[in-house]
Amino acid sequence: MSAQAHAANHYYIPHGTHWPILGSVGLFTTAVGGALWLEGLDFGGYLCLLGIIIIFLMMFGWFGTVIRESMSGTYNAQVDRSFRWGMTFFIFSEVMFFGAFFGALFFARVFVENWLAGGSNSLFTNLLLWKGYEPAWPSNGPGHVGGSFEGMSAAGIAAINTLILLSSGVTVTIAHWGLKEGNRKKLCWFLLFTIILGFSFVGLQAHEYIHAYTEQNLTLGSGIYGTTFFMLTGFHGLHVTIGAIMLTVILLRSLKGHFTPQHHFAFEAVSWYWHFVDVVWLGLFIFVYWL
Amino acid sequence: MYNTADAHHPEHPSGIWRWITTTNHKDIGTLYLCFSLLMFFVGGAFAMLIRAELFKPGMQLMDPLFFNEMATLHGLVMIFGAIMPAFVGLANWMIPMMVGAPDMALPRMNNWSFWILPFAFILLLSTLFMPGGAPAGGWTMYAPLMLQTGTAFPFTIFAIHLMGISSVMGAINIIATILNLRAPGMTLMKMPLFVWCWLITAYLLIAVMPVLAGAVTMELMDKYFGTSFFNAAGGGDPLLFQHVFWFFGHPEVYIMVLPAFGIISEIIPTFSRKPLFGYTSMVYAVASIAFLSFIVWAHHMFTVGMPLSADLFFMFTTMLIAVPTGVKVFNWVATMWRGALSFETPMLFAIAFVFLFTIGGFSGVMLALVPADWQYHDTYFVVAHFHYVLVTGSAFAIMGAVYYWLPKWTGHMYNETLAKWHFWLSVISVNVLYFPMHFLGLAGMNRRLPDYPVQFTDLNQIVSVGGFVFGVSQLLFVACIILCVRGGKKAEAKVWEGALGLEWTLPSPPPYHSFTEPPAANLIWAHPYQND
Amino acid sequence: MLQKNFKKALRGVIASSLTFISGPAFAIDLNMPVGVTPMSHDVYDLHMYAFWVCVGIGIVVFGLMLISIIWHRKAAGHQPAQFHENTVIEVIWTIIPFIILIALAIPASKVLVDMTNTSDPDMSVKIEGYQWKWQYDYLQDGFSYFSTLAADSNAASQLDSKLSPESVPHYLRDVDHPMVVPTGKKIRLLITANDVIHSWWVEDFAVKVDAIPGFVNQAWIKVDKPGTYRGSCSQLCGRGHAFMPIVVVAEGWDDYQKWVAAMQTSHGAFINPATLQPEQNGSPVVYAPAELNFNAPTPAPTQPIAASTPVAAPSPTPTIAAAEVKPAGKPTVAAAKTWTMATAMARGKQVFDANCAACHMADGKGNPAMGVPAIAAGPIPNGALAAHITLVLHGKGIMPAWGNILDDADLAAVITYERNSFGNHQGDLVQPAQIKAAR
Ligand code: HEA
Ligand code: HEA
Ligand code: HEC
Ligand code: CUA
Ligand SMILES: [Cu+2]
Repeated sequence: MSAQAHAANHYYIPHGTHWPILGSVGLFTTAVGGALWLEGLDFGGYLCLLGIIIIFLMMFGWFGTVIRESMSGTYNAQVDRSFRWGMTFFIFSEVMFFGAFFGALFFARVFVENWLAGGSNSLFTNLLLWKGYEPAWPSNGPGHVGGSFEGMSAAGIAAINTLILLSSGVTVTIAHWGLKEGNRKKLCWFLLFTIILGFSFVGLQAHEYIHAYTEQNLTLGSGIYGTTFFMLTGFHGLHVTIGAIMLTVILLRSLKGHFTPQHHFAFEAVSWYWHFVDVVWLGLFIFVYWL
Repeated sequence: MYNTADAHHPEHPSGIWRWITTTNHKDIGTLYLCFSLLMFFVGGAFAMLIRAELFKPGMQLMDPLFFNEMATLHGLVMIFGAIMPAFVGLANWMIPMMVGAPDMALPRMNNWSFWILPFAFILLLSTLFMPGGAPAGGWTMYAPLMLQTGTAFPFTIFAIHLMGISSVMGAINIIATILNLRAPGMTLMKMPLFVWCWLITAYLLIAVMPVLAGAVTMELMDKYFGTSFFNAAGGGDPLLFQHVFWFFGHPEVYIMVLPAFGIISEIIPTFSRKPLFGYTSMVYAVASIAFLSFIVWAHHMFTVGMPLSADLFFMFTTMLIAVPTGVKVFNWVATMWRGALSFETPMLFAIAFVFLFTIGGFSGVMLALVPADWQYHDTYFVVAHFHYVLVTGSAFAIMGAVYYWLPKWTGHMYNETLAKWHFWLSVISVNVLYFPMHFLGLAGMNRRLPDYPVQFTDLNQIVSVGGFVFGVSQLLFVACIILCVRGGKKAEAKVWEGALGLEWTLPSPPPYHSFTEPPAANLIWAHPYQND
Repeated sequence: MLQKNFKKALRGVIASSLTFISGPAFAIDLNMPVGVTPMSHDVYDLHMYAFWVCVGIGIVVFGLMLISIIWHRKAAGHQPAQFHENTVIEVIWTIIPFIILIALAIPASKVLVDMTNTSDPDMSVKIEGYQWKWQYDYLQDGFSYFSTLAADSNAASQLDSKLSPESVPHYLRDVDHPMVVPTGKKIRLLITANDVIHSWWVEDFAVKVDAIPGFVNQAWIKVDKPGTYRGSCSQLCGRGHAFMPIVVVAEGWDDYQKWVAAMQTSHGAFINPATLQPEQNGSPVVYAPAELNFNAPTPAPTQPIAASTPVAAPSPTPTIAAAEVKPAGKPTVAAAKTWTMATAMARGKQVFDANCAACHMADGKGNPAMGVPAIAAGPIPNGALAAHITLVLHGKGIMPAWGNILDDADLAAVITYERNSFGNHQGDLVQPAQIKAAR
């Protein structure tokens, strides 16, 4: 494209695009499929899968276009800044999404337990409905929903996973240094380490879940403890998985030599995301496993 | 010069494909506005059914459950389908023009944020045809009632998710545009107030739409995956849903009114021929309202039996919002004070807004008093409150904005006579519609009732008649828009004598890419705010 | 806060001005009622105080706007001033509203503190919301009963009803069994729900408290005046939300005591015609077997009254979680009864109309929109008896578990009725003992 594109004061406007409509169709198919599946229609599951595939196709196409344009020098600093703002606020929205579930955890632990046990202005809640219930954590509530279970401990897999994620935060930063130094080898190797750490985290978590279901009788249905545990860690695990996939894409692009020391917004965006996932984990480790 | 990837291609592909693939802020703005108008009519049609059923005591037209479906869909469609997209459409059209940019910062994503919406509403409205009917738990979707929804349940939840994705992307785009694409020389404190209000609204959107998504996701988990978020036996609490919902819900109501504040702050100075009074304090007031909106949510829950300390806290913070809002109202009045007022339709809507929104705000302050709220809560007093702030607030501001900028968009003047008819019919009927609701509520009529005791009949009939007249009057609105799009007196670049701001330096209609070159700094200096 | 006289004057002014606005055309008072409890008076005063504050601010703000609109018109040749800032005035109009708000917040907080003080009651009543009826449980007296929409209101509210609502006294504000309370006593209300959130609201008491499944909320009332007070559920609770009214009869202590005694003898099945207003006669469904009617007392039940031990701390009453346990005071007496086909069918119809018709419809056709199957020609009412009893006892999905709600006699009657009505001809006559055995 035109050579003046790098001039700082010029605007960039893309032409029409068909990727978004494909994305919307994908989201729609996923939603309809998912809903039908939840309502007990098996083919809904396949429809949902089809939708997800469409979304992936859309992402490939869309990001492909963006990458091509970026590589050909169409973008300028202003576009770069717009992308940065975009990613920043996307991550902020994710923080708030997690916030809702963390909020649920705090509310249940700090208030609801206390109320069910007759605290605050809830004496009669306990006397009339849940007599004898004592506040406890882990808890599956006064109805012992899901039967007795064993809670998660902060030692063991959780601690290992903390180490893994923290070190992956370090490796991704080293990869970034490599990128900025123009050291492709360092970049790629440390990216690879990060990805391996990311997927090991997911693997260990899967192991932890299986153990919880088979040995600890800890399930999604284990009252509020199981609910918040699986909701928070599961939602986080999903993010780790997505982050690791994105890192893989970045690795492939690094191998192809897409990034320059000055120009590597995609890398940075993904590493921000990774750090975000990391920080959320610290919150999880402290509030879900430890305290 | 600007740089488009399609510099060598024709600017618009033709036909529907143009609208589907467009990345142009004006096209997308138009799409949003048309969609919102359509949804206003859909939601309005539901409201008409509600008012028809409530015309007489006894069940006349529908099953009580269907009535609840209508109320629920009416609320959801009006909020997520009519008001919010209308504001995003206005932002799309006006923000690039107001800050001197060629387009939005992320044009492709802009397209996507719009094109998710029609799919989301297909999902939502298709539930009407499902076994068990549409969701009937109110737009607030309280657990555990919402969990009794039939097949419609997951469709509703996913529709909400899609609306959330759309809003968050739209908001990100607006923030990026405002922070990044302002013309050189336009500092933050020189931005038009509409832009300021939208900047803050966008923050609110990004902060709370994900929380709503979280709330409905928890319901989904409780229904299908055996979790105990809202089940006391498992250690959960139905109130958890309400807290999370209202943490979203209260900022949401300001999301629906802050852009309206921005519009009013544009219109009033123009037709008063006088700069906006207290620009700086207006900005701080909006920021304070936005901040406060995060710590007042439980005023929707005064009757749920919160501890006394919580009741007191939420009562005080809620009342506090009256202070910055008051600053806004007083500043508008001061802007009009000793101006040279003229009363074209946009100004009429703006003046009606200030009057009627304030009335809605007063009932809001009354609702904030906990012991009194125990009498008002879930009655038509609340319905009156929120229709005053939403219909004569948000919707009137949107109508004012449409009349204000329509000549700019289309290059034609609208038919002033017809528009005045629209205004006067609306403003009279809307009060016949909503004012008696205060009395109904005080006399003891609950909201969300398909049927009511006979002593409420007279007032309900007045309300319904007001509603029908208001509904029919909106056909004039559509007529005005269509006529104006199709022709009319040629509009000048600066449509209104007293108008100031970058958008008026562009021809009417403006070129496809608004400012292909950053506007000259002296144009910004000509802006009304702080020009001395 | 406000002086007593001032309050009175204020009340007079508003009452007369509202009457003036409303004119004779309206059948209702347009304002919040003053009510009959100390709290309701305070709330009314607070409401009027806030109202007048708003009117005052409104007059100032709207007045200034009107002046601008009238005098500062371009058409009138007014030249625009160019001022656009004035720090002093901006500070003033930030501070004054703040002060006004404090002046509102102080009385509001005071009233609030009083209202939440539920300590030292003279008695406690537990109120539980169901889709769509209320259960009143007199904890100290050991009986409880359900209160559902009166049959005539119910009939008139049907979609194809030929009855006009105007012809029904207290349309949608009338129940079969009202709640009864003594006047002049501080009564603590313990409010909860069984299925979804409801809200117990009687405007004359200024009490509106959400009934939340799994949690008990508290409120208190002290009724000054004997009378019948009406309210309704005020939280959306599904299809029947408009149809679960509340009626509270307040009577002197002696009458109240008589009522309690009768309720204890009848295990909550008693209805006191004396507590009903004259125009109400006929509207409530007489829910009790004829022999328990207050006016025609037949020999008291042969068995001793179910232990009504006065409890200091209320005894635990089960809900959702502990579904097996029966509520305190549920008659075991009735189980000893035997039905004849005629008595069972008559009683069964009453039970059906009061409990089941809300969903299955009075004609037994069900409500497909809600996913409620028809009883008429339904597979279960026309299938094995045991399955029928089990389903009704334990419920399924939205269908409640009636075993916790109805006694054996009523269950037997309603099942008999279902199997022999709406075109079903099973011919079974179910006896309470069978239900007892199936529990
Ligand atoms: C645009 C939307 C909008 C806006 C702007 C507001 C504004 C306010 N709202 Fe409203 N509200 C809703 C939309 C909105 N609301 C909706 C949709 C519901 C119902 C949701 C549902 O349940 O479905 C609701 C419900 C609602 C409740 C819960 C009622 C209940 O269910 O029991 C409360 C309680 O405190 C409340 C309070 C307020 C207050 C104090 C303001 C304040 O911001 C108002 C401030 C404005 C003024 C006060 C006027 C101008 C000020 C002056 C002239 C200064 C001087 C004034 C004084 C000193 C008093 N609102
Ligand atoms: C955001 C905006 C918004 C808007 C614009 C409106 C607009 C209207 N609302 Fe709104 N309303 C809500 C938001 C809104 N509402 C919310 C959030 C609730 C709470 C829901 C809940 O309880 O969960 C609610 C609840 C609500 C109720 C209470 C329902 C109940 O509690 O049972 C009622 C009752 O009268 C009502 C009436 C109306 C009417 C008559 C209009 C009118 O202004 C509509 C006018 C518009 C039209 C009529 C469309 C245009 C015209 C035509 C379609 C042409 C044809 C016309 C005829 C044939 C007459 N609304
Ligand atoms: C809140 C609504 C509701 C009420 C009240 C209600 N039911 Fe039901 N009933 C249902 C629903 C829903 C089903 C379907 C259950 C299922 O199969 O999932 C049902 C099913 C039944 C069936 C089985 C019908 C068939 O053939 O499949 C019988 C019998 C029945 N109910 C009897 C009663 C009786 C007796 C009462 C009153 C004492 C009653 N119901 C009150 C909702 C209700
Ligand atoms: Cu019970 Cu509404
Ligand atoms: Cu609010």
